[in-house]
Amino acid sequence: MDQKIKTLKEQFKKDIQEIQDPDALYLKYFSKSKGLVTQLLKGLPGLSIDEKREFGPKLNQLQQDLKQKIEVTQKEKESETANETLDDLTIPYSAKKTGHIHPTNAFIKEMNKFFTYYGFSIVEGPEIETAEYNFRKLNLPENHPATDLQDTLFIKSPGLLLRTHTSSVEARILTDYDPPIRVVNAGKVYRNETQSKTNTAFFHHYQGVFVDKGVTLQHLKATLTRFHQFLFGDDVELRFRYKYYPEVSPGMGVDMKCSFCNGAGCDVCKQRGWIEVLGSGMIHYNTLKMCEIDPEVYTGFAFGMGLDRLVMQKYGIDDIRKLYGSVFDY
Amino acid sequence: MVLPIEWLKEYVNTNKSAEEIAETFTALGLMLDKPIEESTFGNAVLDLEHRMDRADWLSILGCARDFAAMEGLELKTPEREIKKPTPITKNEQIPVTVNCPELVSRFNTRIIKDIKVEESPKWMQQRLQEYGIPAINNIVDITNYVMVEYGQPLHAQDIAKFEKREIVIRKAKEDETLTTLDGTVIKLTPKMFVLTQNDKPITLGGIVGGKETAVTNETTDIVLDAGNYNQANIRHTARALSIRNETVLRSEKFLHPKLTQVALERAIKLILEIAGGECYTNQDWYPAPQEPQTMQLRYKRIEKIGGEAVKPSVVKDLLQKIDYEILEESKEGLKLQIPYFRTDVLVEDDIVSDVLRLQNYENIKTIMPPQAPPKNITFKEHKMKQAVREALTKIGADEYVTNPLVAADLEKEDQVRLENALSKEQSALRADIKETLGKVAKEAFKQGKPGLIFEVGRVYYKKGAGAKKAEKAFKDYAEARKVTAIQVPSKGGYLKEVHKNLKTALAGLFSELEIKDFYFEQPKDSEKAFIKQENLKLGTIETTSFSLDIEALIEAQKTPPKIIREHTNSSTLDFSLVVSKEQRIGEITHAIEILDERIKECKILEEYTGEEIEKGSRGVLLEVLISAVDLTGDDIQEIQEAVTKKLEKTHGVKIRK
Repeated sequence: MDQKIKTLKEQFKKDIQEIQDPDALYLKYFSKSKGLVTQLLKGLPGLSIDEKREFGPKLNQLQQDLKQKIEVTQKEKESETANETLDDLTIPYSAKKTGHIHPTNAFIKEMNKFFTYYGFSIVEGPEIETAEYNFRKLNLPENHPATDLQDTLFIKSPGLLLRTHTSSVEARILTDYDPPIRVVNAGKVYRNETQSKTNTAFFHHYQGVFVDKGVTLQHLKATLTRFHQFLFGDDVELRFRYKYYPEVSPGMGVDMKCSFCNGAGCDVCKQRGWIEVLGSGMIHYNTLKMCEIDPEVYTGFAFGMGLDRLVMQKYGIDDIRKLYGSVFDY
Repeated sequence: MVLPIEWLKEYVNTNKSAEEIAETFTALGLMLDKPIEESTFGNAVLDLEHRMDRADWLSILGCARDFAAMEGLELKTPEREIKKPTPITKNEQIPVTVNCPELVSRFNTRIIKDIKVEESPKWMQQRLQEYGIPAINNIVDITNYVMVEYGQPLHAQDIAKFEKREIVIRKAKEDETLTTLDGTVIKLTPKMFVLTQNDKPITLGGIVGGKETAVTNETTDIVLDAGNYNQANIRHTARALSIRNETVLRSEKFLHPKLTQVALERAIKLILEIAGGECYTNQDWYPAPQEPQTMQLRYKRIEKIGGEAVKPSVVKDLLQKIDYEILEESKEGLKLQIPYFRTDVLVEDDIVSDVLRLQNYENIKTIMPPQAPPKNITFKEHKMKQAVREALTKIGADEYVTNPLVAADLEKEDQVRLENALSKEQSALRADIKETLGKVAKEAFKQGKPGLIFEVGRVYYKKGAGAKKAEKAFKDYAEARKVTAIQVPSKGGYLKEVHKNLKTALAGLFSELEIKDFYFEQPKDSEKAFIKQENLKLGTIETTSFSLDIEALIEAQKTPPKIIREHTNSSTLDFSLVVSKEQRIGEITHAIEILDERIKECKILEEYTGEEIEKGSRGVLLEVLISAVDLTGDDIQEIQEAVTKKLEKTHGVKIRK
């Protein structure tokens, strides 16, 4: 028996060098039917009591030793694989598929980041609206010529329409919440327009509202300056001018110098040299009053802008219909 | 508003270049809209963007007034005939009757006799041409000239062509027609009003003149009118008839009735000068003269809006330059009479606007708001939509936004349809995002771009037909926020595989959103299954798509996420079942999962058919994960029995040994 143990040990020494796969090595010695150690152990019951006393522990010891050695080899092997290196690290593989947010929503998300940093909350409102919130509360009485600025799509039900701007959400928030208020909202708006490369019957608007004590035109100018710097870079050049919008007084139009022609006039800026980015102003006295906010105590500013043109410019999309309905190569 | 620079200089003396003049106009509220053009006479012509509110900015004089104020220049106002006209005899009078006083505020007329109709002077023709109105004859040209100069449309008619000396303004009758100056025959409706004589329409008031009484070279006596009409009615009539002209452009704005008098005086001055003749009175129909508007301006209000105090002397100077009249003055502010032509001034802040804009917005300081941020009120719907977007893109899905306008389908009772759509294809709103996102999915399949696509958007329906949880509902209409995802199959892909991918994505989404314990419930013979959590319906799932309700997701998310658990012992139990084709496996696993709180999950390890399974049935291998603090053999035994009982008794499932 001693001899057998000795031979086995020697063979194992050889095998551990030669047999690369630790699992195969384990099976060779410990498989239930043919394992070399298993076989020796199977022979134990046939021995005399004295021999049992002598070789039982020896065989046990052998079993433990070999198993431990195999385990060590296995661990070594594993760490070896982990540290293994490839000779050629230049082989290119195609990208792992990741998901993408729609360009318009990605743009909105970026803008929301800017405004939440400045303490604005993000709100929403309905697209099916009443004339009260879409027009009246925004200082647009029935039959006012300015209602013509927006060709409204009406629902087949008297008094209901599809909102023509996100200012309707402003009217709702001003009505439902007490100042101080600082909110932005983005969403779909609808106009009765014929489909073309640049127009669809629905657009995306972005709206901001700021109502507090002591809010002035100075604050509006500064907020919008930072906003444009955020969108277009620090060297953006802006022009502030008076512009009428029914829901504000005084109203303010904001243009940025066309970066394509540096103000000289080109196709992008329709030869104006400036690109109109948004409309804004101090919230109309009557709007605040109609929304039950005291305009003698609180003042506020609001601004609104169309997003689609900016998104199309950013992604080089020449047809708005492609932005909302064709398959993207994300 | 087209502004020939040479004409502008009639009222204001400026040496500035056309570009500089355009810059001033842009700052004060009339932005240069198109590149500066040169007329055939070599003069610059500006095209300024007009914004509906300022009716006086549709006149060169009105534009010149603001320009002069901003530039600190004098405004030269045109000469008008202020000598009283000769009273007309009763026989020669043309009485005015208005049968629709709700549509007419003022109808101001004069008679001019013994005029000589011929070509108008060259300077006038040139200005009109630069503005964009062709010259006709001196009388028509003068009415056009004064309209562009003052913004009030005027209208001259040949008295000799009247069958009866009268002007009756009434609503048009059904099927009545009028032949306009250019020979077009227009069909009138009772919603429109017309000027008539001898019960025949002769002019569409405030819109276009008629051919029958038009001034020609033979004309000697004319009746000249300036009317102030209901601007909304003008707008609707002009739209209905598709007439856009210089007259409509002005009549549809809020013009002041006083302007009729000023414009008539100016026109008469020019007519007498250019065409000769003598002016006589005729009726001025003005039953309810409008008083001039007065308003208080507080200096403090200017500071409150503009951020900085403006010296009272500067305020007074600027306002007087644009014709505000100071009625009273105090330390605190001014009592002002608003210029009659400023029909846009409604509140004190409008006067503040005048003060601020005439000093140029560019000069207003730029200061960040110092106020502390208010309470955050970000809507939970927005947060959920954003979370859904992030989660789905994280697991590899692409977001799309599609046009919610769809074709009307009269079969669909709950569809929201539009009253005035421009095209049939876009005459209603979608009730399901799949209606519009489905087209993208089809296209992606055609192009061989498999994968999961989704849209977060709204659906619209008539109430009662859709989900109860609608954000806002007006009368019978409602809208709800949804997320819909479609698994675009690869070409030749197995449907089961496609569905598995969709389910995996849904499970991934719920895992990201920390929405637990969801299950599926499929009604008999339905191609859709509900996605539920307890009794809450989260949405529906079909073979290749699912749709979830954003508000339901918010509710489902209420359980706080558990990221650290107590130490528990766990064990598994396997069950091999035979279920009939009709039985829903998802419903069985859900029933087991909610059977005992020690059951954590019931997984399908394998689903198979084969020789040993009778036809029409499936073999299913379930693994039930049990976990509890100090789990004992008795626990396991108990659960084993409970599950077996549930499977056999409630679901009638055979358990294979």
